[in-house]
Amino acid sequence: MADQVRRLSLYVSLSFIVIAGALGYWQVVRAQEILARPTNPRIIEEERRILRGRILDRNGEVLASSEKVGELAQRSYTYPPLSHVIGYASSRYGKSGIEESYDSYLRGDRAVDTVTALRNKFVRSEQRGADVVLTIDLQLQKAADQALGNSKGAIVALNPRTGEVLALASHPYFDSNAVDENWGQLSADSSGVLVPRAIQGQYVPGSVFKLVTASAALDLGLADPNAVHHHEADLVVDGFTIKNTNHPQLKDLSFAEEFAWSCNVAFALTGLALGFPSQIDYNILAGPQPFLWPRGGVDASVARFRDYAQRFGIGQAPRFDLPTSAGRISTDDSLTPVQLANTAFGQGDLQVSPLQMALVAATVVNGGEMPAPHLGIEARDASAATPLPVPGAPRRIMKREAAATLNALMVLSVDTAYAQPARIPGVPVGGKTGTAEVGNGTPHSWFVGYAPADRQGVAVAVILENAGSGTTYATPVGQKVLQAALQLGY
Amino acid sequence: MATRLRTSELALLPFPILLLGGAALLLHYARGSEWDSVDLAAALLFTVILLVLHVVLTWRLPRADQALLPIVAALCAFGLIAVSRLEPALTSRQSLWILVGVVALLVTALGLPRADWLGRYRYTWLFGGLGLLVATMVMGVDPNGSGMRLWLGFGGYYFQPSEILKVVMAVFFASYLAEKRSLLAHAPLRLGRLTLPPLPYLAPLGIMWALSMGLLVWQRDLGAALLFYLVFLAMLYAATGPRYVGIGVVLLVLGAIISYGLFDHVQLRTRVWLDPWPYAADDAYQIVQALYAYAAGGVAGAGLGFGYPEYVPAIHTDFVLAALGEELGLIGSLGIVALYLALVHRAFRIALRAPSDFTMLLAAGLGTILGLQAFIILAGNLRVIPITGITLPFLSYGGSSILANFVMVGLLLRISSESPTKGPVHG
Repeated sequence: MADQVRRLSLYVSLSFIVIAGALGYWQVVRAQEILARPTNPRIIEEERRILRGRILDRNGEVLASSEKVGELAQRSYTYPPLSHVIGYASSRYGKSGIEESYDSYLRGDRAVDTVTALRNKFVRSEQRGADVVLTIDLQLQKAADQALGNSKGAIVALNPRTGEVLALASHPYFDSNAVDENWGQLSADSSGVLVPRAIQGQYVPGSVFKLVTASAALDLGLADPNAVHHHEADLVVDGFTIKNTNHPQLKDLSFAEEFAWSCNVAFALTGLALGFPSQIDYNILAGPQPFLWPRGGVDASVARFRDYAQRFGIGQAPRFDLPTSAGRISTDDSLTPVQLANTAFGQGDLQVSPLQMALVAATVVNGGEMPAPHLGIEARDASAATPLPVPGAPRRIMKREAAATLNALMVLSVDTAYAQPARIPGVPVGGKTGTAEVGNGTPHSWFVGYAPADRQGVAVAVILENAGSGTTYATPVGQKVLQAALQLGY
Repeated sequence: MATRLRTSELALLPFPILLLGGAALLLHYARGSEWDSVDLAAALLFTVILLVLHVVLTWRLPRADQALLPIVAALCAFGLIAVSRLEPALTSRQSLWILVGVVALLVTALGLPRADWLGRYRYTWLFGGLGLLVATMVMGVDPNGSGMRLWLGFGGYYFQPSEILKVVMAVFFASYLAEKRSLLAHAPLRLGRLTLPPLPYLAPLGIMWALSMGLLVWQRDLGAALLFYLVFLAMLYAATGPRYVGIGVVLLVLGAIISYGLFDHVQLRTRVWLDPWPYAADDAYQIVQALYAYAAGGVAGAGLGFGYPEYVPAIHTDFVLAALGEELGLIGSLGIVALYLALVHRAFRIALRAPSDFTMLLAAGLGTILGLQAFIILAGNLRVIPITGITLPFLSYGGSSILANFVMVGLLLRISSESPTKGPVHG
């Protein structure tokens, strides 16, 4: 009997091995997967207790901070016009903006120094996140919001050398402090109040896109800025008339002046002739004789045009700390000559975001290299800081000489032509205006530019939705932002 | 006289006391509130009870096993920690139940003339137990809305007869099997060329099976039915060897199949056990929340007072492991499993040194009850088997369970003190 009792003892003991195995299985092996399930109530509960880190601008100004109210942490935002950038951290509606992008730092899951990491691990109620420092300059941001006023639209200001984004204004905006209370109203809103227009707005670029066409022509050596052409007639492409109306007072223009006065005919021709092996003779092309296609016909021109648009990142969402939109360039296999002519001066099947246009301007003043735009500088604990990685990498778009030439053309535009409202006394400013036709509505008013033009200070893109002429509306707004940036020492 | 001192026990007792005291400190820290005088009083009462028990055992049963009391005290400490964490209002009642349990332990351990004396009255125990069962079937109430009428009420106090029944049945079977085991093990019954076991002596097996099914049918008490049956089978095996195990397992499977076919709640529990996630919002809510709790605990645990046990319904009675698993982590939950393992080990060690067949079978039976009861509820809590509503010995909140378990420990202590080995039994 003793043997059976001994064996029974063994069987009963072995059953506890099963229990131990099951504990290890649920507490360790499956733990991560189970915890991540959406019906886990802990996720929501813990979120509400964590003292999230602050979000600071580049000068240490507080943009978001948390404090304990009883057991729970309460988040407050100091400057609501930045709500699109900062975003919100709602236990009910999730997260957006920087709150989402740098959530792991702000929550404290990725602590910067080991002491904080250990404290967060073992003293859960005290979990405290790291501060996140942004490239945003609150002073410049305020200037941008003020300049934009009550208009619908967006402003992007960035450092053309480093890609640090200094201001991102999108109007209308919401208030991150009251997302839970106003959610119904916000989600039903039809004016796009939740859309961060500066990085996700998709707009027809109009004449500011001539920067891309001009970059292609100059980089390929097809355009001589000083060659003078005679302009009198409208251009007719396959029965479609492109009016010669932008500069009625001037009949003989160099390519530089055509750029400064935003000549649609000249840029339609430039686009059509991008496939040419050597310099374009605008006088012959614009004549009454049939258009002489380069070898490969219109497709050769389309291929080169699309190549440069894609180099500038049109049709591809810029890598950034926040979700951006890709913009759009027609991806049809072939554009007709009429489509190519229109797209070359910024109309047609084309959409860009303000961020993309600001990057185009930045590329010009940065010697042909496009900087990697970013918002994060570093995450900071009490005792240590770690740099936040830049999402993208800078890349060369065109030759340095081509960029220098285009820079001069933009300065010419500000000094003598349509971008004159952007002038700042004593400082060389480069700029390009745009008046983008949108069906039957009032055109979008565009300005892209930078100051000072002889070093990499600040580049901006401004769009005012359905405001009208670029020269009249967006350009003075851009000038205010550039001037504010210069006063702040950029 | 030094050999009569229970030095091992005295050396081990500070651990459960420190465990409880330390937990009270941690809970105080986690709550960040005023001292809860109930926690302090409970810890103090617990210390006094253990010391008094130690002194009484040293005086009256110096040769009794010295590890049992510290193991049981550690489990009770975890139970008190769990109650004061999960249902602070019940802490004082749980402490009082432990006090009542310890009194029952002393009455059992010291009151018996001899351990063998119990075996002489086996039919008294059998009919007393069956009477209790019948009374529950007829007059059972459901004071806490569990949906099962498993309690008997006496003027505001409720008592769960199945807890006492398992002790009574263990005594009966130990006595019956000790007497009939050689008959059961060897006497053949020939039917033509087939050799069958002696049918008349198999009656208890049949009765036990019927009793389990009865529990199941009448009271829907799956856990108790499974426990009773398995304990009986284990004791039959201990007494007679593997002869009846085959047919016992066949009957078990048959019972499982029949009850699955007959009862909706068995089907529901099986379905929820096989895949709880689709029913996470309703039928499987409890087990799914428990799985979250284990996962949230991980290896080191959330820390006492820092988990979310409130998400698991009836956690202080049915799912204590989930609460402790979350807050104490794998380290804590494995510690508890180790304590049960140690308890079972001691019980069987006592069985192997028991003075008679009856006491050997009884100690083995009691060890099996404690072990299997812990296994069934832990395995249910961990989705190893479908969930059943029985208590976790010494840990779950509940008076009848604590009382019955202390009586079992009293019996084990008494049996160990009658061990024929000369000199003290060291821990």
